[in-house]
Amino acid sequence: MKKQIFFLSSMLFSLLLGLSFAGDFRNRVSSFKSDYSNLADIETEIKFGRDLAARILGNYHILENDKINYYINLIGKAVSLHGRRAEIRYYFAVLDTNEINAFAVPGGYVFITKGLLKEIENEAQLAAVLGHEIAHIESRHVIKELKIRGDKNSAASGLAALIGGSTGSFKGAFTQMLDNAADILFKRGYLIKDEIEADRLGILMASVAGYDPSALKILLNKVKHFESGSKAQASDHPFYNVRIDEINNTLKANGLWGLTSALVKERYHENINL
Amino acid sequence: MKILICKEGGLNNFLKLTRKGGSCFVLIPKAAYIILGLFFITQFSYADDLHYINMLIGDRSAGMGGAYTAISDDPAGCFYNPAGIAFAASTNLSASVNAFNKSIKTYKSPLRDINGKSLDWEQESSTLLPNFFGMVRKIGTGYLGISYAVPDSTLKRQRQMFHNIQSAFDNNNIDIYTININDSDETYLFGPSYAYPFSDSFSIGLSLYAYYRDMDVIRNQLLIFEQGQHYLSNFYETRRDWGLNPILGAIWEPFDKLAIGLSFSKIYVTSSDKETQSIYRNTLSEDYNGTNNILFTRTSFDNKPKFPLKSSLGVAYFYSSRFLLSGDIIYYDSIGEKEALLNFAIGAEYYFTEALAARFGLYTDLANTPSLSSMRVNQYEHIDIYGLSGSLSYFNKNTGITLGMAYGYGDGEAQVISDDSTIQDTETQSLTVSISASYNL
Repeated sequence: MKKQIFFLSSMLFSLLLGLSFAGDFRNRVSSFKSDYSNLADIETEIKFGRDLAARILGNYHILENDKINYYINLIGKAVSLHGRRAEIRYYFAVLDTNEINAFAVPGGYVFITKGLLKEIENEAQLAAVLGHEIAHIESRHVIKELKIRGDKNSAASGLAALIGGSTGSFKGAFTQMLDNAADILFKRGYLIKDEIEADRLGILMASVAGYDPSALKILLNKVKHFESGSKAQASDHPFYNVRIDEINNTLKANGLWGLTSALVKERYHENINL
Repeated sequence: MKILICKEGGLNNFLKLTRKGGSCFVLIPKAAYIILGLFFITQFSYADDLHYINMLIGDRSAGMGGAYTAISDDPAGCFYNPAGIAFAASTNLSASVNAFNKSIKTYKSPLRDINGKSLDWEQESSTLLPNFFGMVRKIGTGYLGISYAVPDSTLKRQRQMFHNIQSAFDNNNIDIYTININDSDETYLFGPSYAYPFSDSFSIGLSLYAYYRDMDVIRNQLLIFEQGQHYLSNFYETRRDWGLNPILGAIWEPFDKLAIGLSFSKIYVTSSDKETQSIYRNTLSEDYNGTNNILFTRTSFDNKPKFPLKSSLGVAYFYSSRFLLSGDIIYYDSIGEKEALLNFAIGAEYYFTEALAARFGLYTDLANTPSLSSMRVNQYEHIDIYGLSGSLSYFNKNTGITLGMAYGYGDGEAQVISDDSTIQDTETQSLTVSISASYNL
């Protein structure tokens, strides 16, 4: 009898887990508010990014090579000039690790690893990677996913604080948000739709800067073998095939398919000598 | 001369001479017995033990009539169904609710003046308190909540003076009858909650609330008869209960836009300390002439009150990101003299814009007592309450402000005169206005 009860319970539990619909229908329209443009939001984003960057630099060391860091900044800032957010000042740095990855931190901080620089073959690919990371910042992917917004300069916020007693919960939550953002950057990865959007915008920015529009696709095809069977953190760029299909669509939709532009291989290797 | 023995806490007061269940006996002189039987209150409920939904909890949830078992995806879920916090729209949420509650209960015609005009008793209660605070945060895969709720709070007042009241004594009516009641009774719940999502559409959660009830009852009555005698009584009761209130819940989303919630809640009182004092003096009875005309009793109790198992089943239909409907069926089993009952609640929410939402709810708050019989005395009152609620929320960035209200109305019957089979029609109304803030970070 006990076995039967256990069996039935197990079946019911499996049914609950298995025959269920996973949807986001609970989201209310109030959570869709897309206006992140006021000063408090931008200040919060920059402060959040600065704190998160500091946390990353607690785990990684910046590569002690001024020439490489200077070069990365030159290319990154050249690409970022074609972005949409004049209020963001971008900073680029190389992390001294053989992991293959790049990180975009809200507020304008972009990190690329030494391991990825070794895999990159030319300046066009570097520009595409940096453009991809800049696009994450331009589109506020982490900020939107974590719903980070400014908490001041609002009468409603002030009233809410009065009712709630204080904004201590906001400050405490801000700290926890850093953990959640680090989780996105280092473990879970971005939402696939955000990755696809970053690919599209990154390609467009690098292309407008004069680089070969197919550079990102070629690099992804090269590094995708790190996705499985490796501890390398390239796994934060999953769904490579989906992404490559979407890159092809972007190239075709924007008249970039088949175009060849500058690769700048020699200058890359002159500056990146690892 | 006089012995007061009460076996049970609950709704006793020293004026109840007998009651179903024989919980309270007062041995007093015959003349005083008559007076008590004629003029004094029987079983006023204290906070309101005779109903289970005395104050709606939360901001969004209260606006929807408490029909929240299948929603529960914000801090109020800690109270309604802790499994729901695993579906929180954000990894950090907090909510704070401040509520003002005013209620009026009218017992119709328990007294008549010498011209035959009936006189009503009115009791009012007003409280302003933070009735909920909660926070939810994602911790690893699960969600941790901390919350505080005040599901019941009353500061009951009755200050009435009647003149020229009929009495049972020939040619000795009552010139002045004064009744003063000052009752305070508050129930607090506070503690942690944890919810674990077993899948994207199924979660289980547990809240482990500490339960604390703090009650003080002060009742004074003075009668002055036209022939000069008087009767004065004072009754004081204090009670402190501690206990645990575990709430176990589950939520399942079997289909697109549909959620089903189930939760179980029961209060276990682990310690109860109750003490009553009563003093009365009368000059009607020959037995009380001279120095023996003041009686004082003091009694302590440690009986632990018992509460029913509350089982809530809720369904919510998320029609769109702007509109949702929900409904709850809440079953309380019988316990002691309290009967089993079913309460219902339905609620709706509609977003006019991204920044403005309105909610509406209907709910029942039925009495857990049986209907009164004209053949019996000293019965609990029986008033079924029906309520409606609504709220408006304004959202700005990561904050929301909600202005809510709830109105409850009920009519029923009561026996407010001890040992008298007369039944009084009774009406109760309550209005709660709340303002709350939520943070969505």
